[in-house]
Amino acid sequence: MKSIFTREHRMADLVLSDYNLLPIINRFGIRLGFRDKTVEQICKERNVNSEFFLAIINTYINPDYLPDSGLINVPVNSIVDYLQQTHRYYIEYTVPEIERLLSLLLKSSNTQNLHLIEKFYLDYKVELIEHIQNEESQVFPYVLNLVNDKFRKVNYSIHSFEREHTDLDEKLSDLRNLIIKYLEPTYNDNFCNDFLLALQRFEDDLKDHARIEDKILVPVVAKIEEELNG
Amino acid sequence: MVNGVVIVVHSNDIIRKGLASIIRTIAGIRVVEHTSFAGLDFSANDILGYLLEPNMLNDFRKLGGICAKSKPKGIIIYNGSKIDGIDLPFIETSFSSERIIEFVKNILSNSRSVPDNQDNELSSREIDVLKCVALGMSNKEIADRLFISIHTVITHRKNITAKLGIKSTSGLTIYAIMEGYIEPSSIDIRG
Repeated sequence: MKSIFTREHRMADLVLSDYNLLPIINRFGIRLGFRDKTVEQICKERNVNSEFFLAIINTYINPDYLPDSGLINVPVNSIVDYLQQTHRYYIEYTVPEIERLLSLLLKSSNTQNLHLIEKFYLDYKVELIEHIQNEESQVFPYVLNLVNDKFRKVNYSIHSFEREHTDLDEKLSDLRNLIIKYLEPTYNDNFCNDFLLALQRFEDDLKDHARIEDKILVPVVAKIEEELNG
Repeated sequence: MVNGVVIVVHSNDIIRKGLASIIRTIAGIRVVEHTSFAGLDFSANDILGYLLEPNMLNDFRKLGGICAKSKPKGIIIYNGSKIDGIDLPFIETSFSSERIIEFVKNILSNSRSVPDNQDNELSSREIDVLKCVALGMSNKEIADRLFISIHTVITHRKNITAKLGIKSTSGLTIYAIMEGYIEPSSIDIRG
């Protein structure tokens, strides 16, 4: 298990430990230029709940890390906001970037297998966007309604939003496997490597996103439902 | 803990029944006894491991006991003492019951499967199933088409995924086209 970060750690050290944390930090509106400030100081300045911030960072670094039940106190709005920022990052940056790399790769090698891989990716993208839209239009509004209007009668539960994330990151891993094992070697090495690395980063991020929904959002919302119904 | 079947194959009744009765005491393990490989289904998917007589090892390999299909977690040889040149765990005559139980538990709870000596090439039956999957058929339709049970279809699909490392139906479809098993025109790739 890698180290767990606390409020007293310097933000700069946190970033230095793993650059993959940068896009995650950005989702909180936190940007570089930390000097020697601690996590607590920066979070205060940007009006970020440091407990939630650390839970997200630590879950990312250690997939097995489970935030303790104290997290129940994190405002649901912050969790939803973070998840929405993540979606925006996927749609505005990750997906176009993967496509840019894929089109470079396609230009370097015009084989049938590569076109099949493109097809697989494009179908996957449709599915991904449908999934994101479903969360944005169904799941998040339900959750926000629940916390903002506690007197509403609750007829269904967060558990009914069975996620399809597993399926989504499974397909990314299939994509990687197909490329690594079955591509004819007529492509440009550097383009292909960049494409694979981008896929890998995306897969990791998606897995993390799914963990946050399962381990943070769902339990917190389930507890609110319980209080309302009980 | 472990759950599943351990198959004890030994021609000597006293040894086989003795080993079986000791291993049966391990929680979660069912023991099936055989005097030879006749009638043994290596592809059953709840097989955890085998306990064999040393001279059966060659036949065992030839018959496909160590293959991606069954992926047993452990193969243990029973013999009076360790035989050089066989790189598998041995239960020796001198072992006490407790030691045998610990030994078996240890091997079976090891998450790593026995490495198979064969490569990951699909069998012809698996290719039949793969083609049907790629054409978008359901398990029921595949079972009817190939005259096998749905259970067998599921087992084949599991083995295909284990061999190829591809889990989704659409991924398998792409693979089937790439490898020329089906025509690109014959499918709708989404799924």
